[in-house]
Amino acid sequence: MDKRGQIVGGGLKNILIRERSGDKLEIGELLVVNDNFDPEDLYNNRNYTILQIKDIEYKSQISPAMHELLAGMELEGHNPDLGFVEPELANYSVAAAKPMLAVHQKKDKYETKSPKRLPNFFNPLFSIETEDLKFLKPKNTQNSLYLGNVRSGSNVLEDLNVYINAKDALTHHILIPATTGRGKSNLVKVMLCSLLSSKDAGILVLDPHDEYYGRNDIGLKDHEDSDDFLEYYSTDPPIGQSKLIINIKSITPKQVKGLTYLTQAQSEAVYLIHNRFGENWIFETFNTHHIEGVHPKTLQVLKRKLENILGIYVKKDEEGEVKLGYRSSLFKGGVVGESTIDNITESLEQGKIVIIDSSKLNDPEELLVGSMILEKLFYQYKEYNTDELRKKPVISVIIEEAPRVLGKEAMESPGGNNIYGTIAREGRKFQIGLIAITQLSSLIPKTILANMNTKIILGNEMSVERHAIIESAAQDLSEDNRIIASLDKGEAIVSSVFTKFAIPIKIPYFNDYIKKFQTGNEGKQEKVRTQISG
Amino acid sequence: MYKFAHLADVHLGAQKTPELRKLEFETFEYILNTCVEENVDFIIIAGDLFHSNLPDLGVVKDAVGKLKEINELGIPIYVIYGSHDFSPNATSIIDIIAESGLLKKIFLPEIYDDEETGEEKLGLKFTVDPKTKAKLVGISAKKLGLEREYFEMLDRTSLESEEGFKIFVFHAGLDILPRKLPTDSLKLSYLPQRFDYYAGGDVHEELYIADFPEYGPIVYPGSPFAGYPRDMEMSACKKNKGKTLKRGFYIVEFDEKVKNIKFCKSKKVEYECLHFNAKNKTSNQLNDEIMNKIEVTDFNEKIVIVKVQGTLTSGKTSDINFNEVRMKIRDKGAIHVGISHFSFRSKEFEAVTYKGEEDSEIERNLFKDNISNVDVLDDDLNDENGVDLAVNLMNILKESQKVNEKKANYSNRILKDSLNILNI
Repeated sequence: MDKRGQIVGGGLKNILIRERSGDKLEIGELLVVNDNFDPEDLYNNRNYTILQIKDIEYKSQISPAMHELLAGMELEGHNPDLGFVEPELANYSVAAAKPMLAVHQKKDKYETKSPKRLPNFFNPLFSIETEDLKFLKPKNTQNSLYLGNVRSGSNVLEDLNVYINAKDALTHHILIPATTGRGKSNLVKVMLCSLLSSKDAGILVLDPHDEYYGRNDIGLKDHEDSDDFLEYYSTDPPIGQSKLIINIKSITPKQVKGLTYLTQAQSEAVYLIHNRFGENWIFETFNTHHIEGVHPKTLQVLKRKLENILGIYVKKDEEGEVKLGYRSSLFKGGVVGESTIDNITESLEQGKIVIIDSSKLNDPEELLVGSMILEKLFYQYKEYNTDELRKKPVISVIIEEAPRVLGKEAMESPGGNNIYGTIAREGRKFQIGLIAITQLSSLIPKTILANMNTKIILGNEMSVERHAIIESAAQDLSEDNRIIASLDKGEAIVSSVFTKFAIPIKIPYFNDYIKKFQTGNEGKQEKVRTQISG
Repeated sequence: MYKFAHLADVHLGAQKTPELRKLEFETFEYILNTCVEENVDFIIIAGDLFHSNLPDLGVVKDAVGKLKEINELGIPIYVIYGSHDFSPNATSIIDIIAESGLLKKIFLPEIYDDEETGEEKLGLKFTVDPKTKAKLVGISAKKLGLEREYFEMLDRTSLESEEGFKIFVFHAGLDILPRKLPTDSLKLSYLPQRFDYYAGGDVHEELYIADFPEYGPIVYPGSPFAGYPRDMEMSACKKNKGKTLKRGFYIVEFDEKVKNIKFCKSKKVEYECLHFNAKNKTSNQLNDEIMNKIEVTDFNEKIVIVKVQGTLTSGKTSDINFNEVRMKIRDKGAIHVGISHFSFRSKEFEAVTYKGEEDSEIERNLFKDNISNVDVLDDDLNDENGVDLAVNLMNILKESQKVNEKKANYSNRILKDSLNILNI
C-alpha cells in the first residue's frame, strides 16, 4: 500500500494533508488513516479514520514573489532552462479533508463512530480499500435496496456494493434531488431492478416519461422475474399488459376536490350528490337539471368543472337517454375498469412493482390515478393490526416532480390535503413511503424534507437547490457544496440515517446492471411447438 | 343485412336432477328455436356447449337431435372449445359432433417460425361463412386460462390486416371487467384489434362493452340457464342495484359493420329468492323467521334459492336445519331448492388459520382450535380426547370401497367401525 499523503495540520473540521508528489488526490476521494501503528496487530485490533477530501490547494516553500519572477523569466524567454531545486519538495499540494467515520475493527467485527478525536499527527494516509468498508456489506442482500458502488473520487470500488435496508429506507421516504441529465432515471431503474424480485416491497411508479418499463428499449420488462413481479398499466398497453382505465364510479368527491378548487357551496353540493346517488354521482350530476338541495347555478358550475377536469361530455342516444362521453382515454363509464384500482392495490400488496405509464395523461389525471391507488392502499393498511401489517410488504410510491404534490403551494391550496402529504407525514406508521424525485427541492417545505430520511444526491448546478438539500441531509454536508456541484453523470452521494456516513457512490449503467437478472432468458427462446388442441 | 346469433356457456349436462336437466335442455331448444324464428344466418357458440368434455350420452343424444334440426335448415353453427369442453389428453365430444358436420370448429391453428425473430407464431385461419361472407376466427380455451400461451404467440398482423366483416371468438374473461366474476381473466391487450365483433364466452353474466375504439363491441351473452349453482343464485336474487341477472343470448344484425345488437331472453324460468340476515338474531329466532317465510310463500314450479348471511348473536349455524328447510320448500312444489350459506357464521365459531408440517398435523390443529371454540359438556369430546375421537372417526370415513366389496357391505363396515370408535 502506497502512502498518498501525510497529515500536516488542521483540525477536526478540516485535516490538512500534504499530497505525495506526482500522486494526484481528487476532490471527494476517500482516504484512510490508521491510528495504531503496530503492523502485527493491524487486522486484529485496528483503529482507523475514514476521511474525505473536500478541497485541494497549491502550497510552496518558496515565496509567491519568487514564483511570479520565475514564471515571468520563463514566459519572456530570459532563461527557459531555469527550474527549482528538488521541485517535489519545494512545490506541492495540500488537501483539506473531513474525517467522516472512526472505525474500530476487531477481526470481523466493526464498530463505527462519528469522529470525535483527531488521528495522530503526521500519520500517513492510504487509499481506501474494500476491506476498510467491509461493515457496509449487509448480512443478506435479499431485502436490501442496491444503489451502486462505493466511489472514492472518480475511482469506483467495483466489489463494494452499497445497499440500504429496503424496509427502513422505503418507509422513511427517499428524496432524489436531481437536475436533468444527471442519471436520475438510470438510478430509479437500478433501484427498481434490485427490488423487483422481492416480495417485501410493493412499489407504485408513476412514470410520466414512460421510461422504466422499456416498451421499445431495455427496461424492467427484461428482468427474468418480470412476469411474476412487474405489472404495467398504460392507456395504450403493449400486448399482454394492462389497460389503464378509471371508471368514473370509482372517483370520490374528495378526489375531485384535490383536482380543482371548489367553493363551499360547490363542495357541499358534491357531497350531497354523492350521498344521494353513491357511486353513480358523477353520472347523475350530468343526467339531471335539478337536484333537491342544490342551487341550479351551482349544479351548472359543477357540471362545467367536471367536464373540464375529467373531459366528460354529455351525448344522448337515439331514445334521448343521457350517455356520457369521455375525451380522455383514461376515463370510462359502464362496467369496464371498475376493478383497475383494486387490481393495482392487490398487486402492490403482493409485493409487486406496478408501473403506470402516465406519459399520455395530463398532470391532474396522473395525480388522480396516483391518489386513488394510494388512498385505497393507505386506508387498507391503516386497518391492519400490527401483526397483519408486519406480514405485509412495505409500499413505496415513486413520484416525479414531487413539488406538484409536496410543494408548499400544493400543500397549502384549498384541496391540498392530498394523500402524498399525508403519506409524507404519517405513512411511516403504516409502512408506506415516498420516493420523491425533484429538480427543485427548495419548493418542498423543510418539515417534509427533514422527514425524508434518505437522500440520494445527484449532481446539481443550482446553488439554491444544493443548499436546500444540504440543510436537510442526515449527515453534515456543509462542506460538500462543491462536491455536489462537481458530481458527474451517474455519481451520487447517499446521505441517510441508515448509512454510517454520507457515502459517495457510482450508479451502474442500467443496461449493464440488468444483465445479472437476465439469466433465465434461454428458456423463453425455446420452441414450444405446443400441442394445440381444440 | 345479415344476422347471426351468439350464445355461450350453455353447459348442457351440468344439472343433475331430472327437473333441472329438463329445464336446461328446454332452454337450449328455446334458444335455437328463437334463432330459427329470427332467421339468423349462422350461430356462434363461444365455448362450453357441454358441461364436460365427455358428457352423459343421454345429454349428447338430445343435443345432437336439436343440432341436426338446425343443420337441416342450413344454418351453420360455429364453435370453439370452452374450458369445460377441453381435455388435456382426450377427445372432446365437440370433436365428435364436429366430425359429423353438425358443428364447425373455427379454431384453425397453424404454427410457424417468424422470419424476423425466429420465434414461434400461431397463425389462425379464417372460416368464411358461405352465405354472409363473414370471416370467423376463434381461439379455443384450455383449463385454467392456459390458452394465454396461444395469445402470446398469436400472429396479430395477419388477423388485424384481414379485410371484410370479421368476428373473433374467444372463451375467457377480461381484466377490464368487473371483478368477482368466476373466470380466469385475460388482459384486453391480448385480443387482436380491429375486429367488428368479439364473441366472448366463459363469463356467466351478460355483458356488452363498446368502450374501446380499437376494438369492435366485446360481448358476453352469459349463461342462458345455469352452469354453476351460483348462476341460479344470480338469476333468482337481486343484486345491489335491485335487478336480477338477465339470461339469454345475442342476435346481431350486420352488413359491412355491426348494425344492431339485440339481447334475446331465454325461456322464462320462475325463481324465488329467500334472503335472510342472521345479524342481531339468535339461531332460534332465525330458524323461526325462515320457517314462517316458507309457510307464507308460494313455491310452485319455481327454482328457490335460500340465502343466509351474517353472524348469529348466539347459537350455532348447525341449529338451522337446512335439510328440513329444503324438504319443506320441495313439499310446497318447488322444482329445485338451492341453499347458499357461504357467509353465514356463528360467534362461537371463528375462522382460524392452521399450521403444521403434514396434513395430519394440520388436521389435528384444526380440530383442536375448533373444539376449543365450542362449549361441550362431555369430557370425551373436549381437548385431546375430542381431537383423538375426531381424527379416528375421520380416518374411518376416509376409507374407500375395496375391490370386490359390495356397496352394502362397505356401508355396513364403515358404520360398524364408526360406532365402535364412538363407543356406541
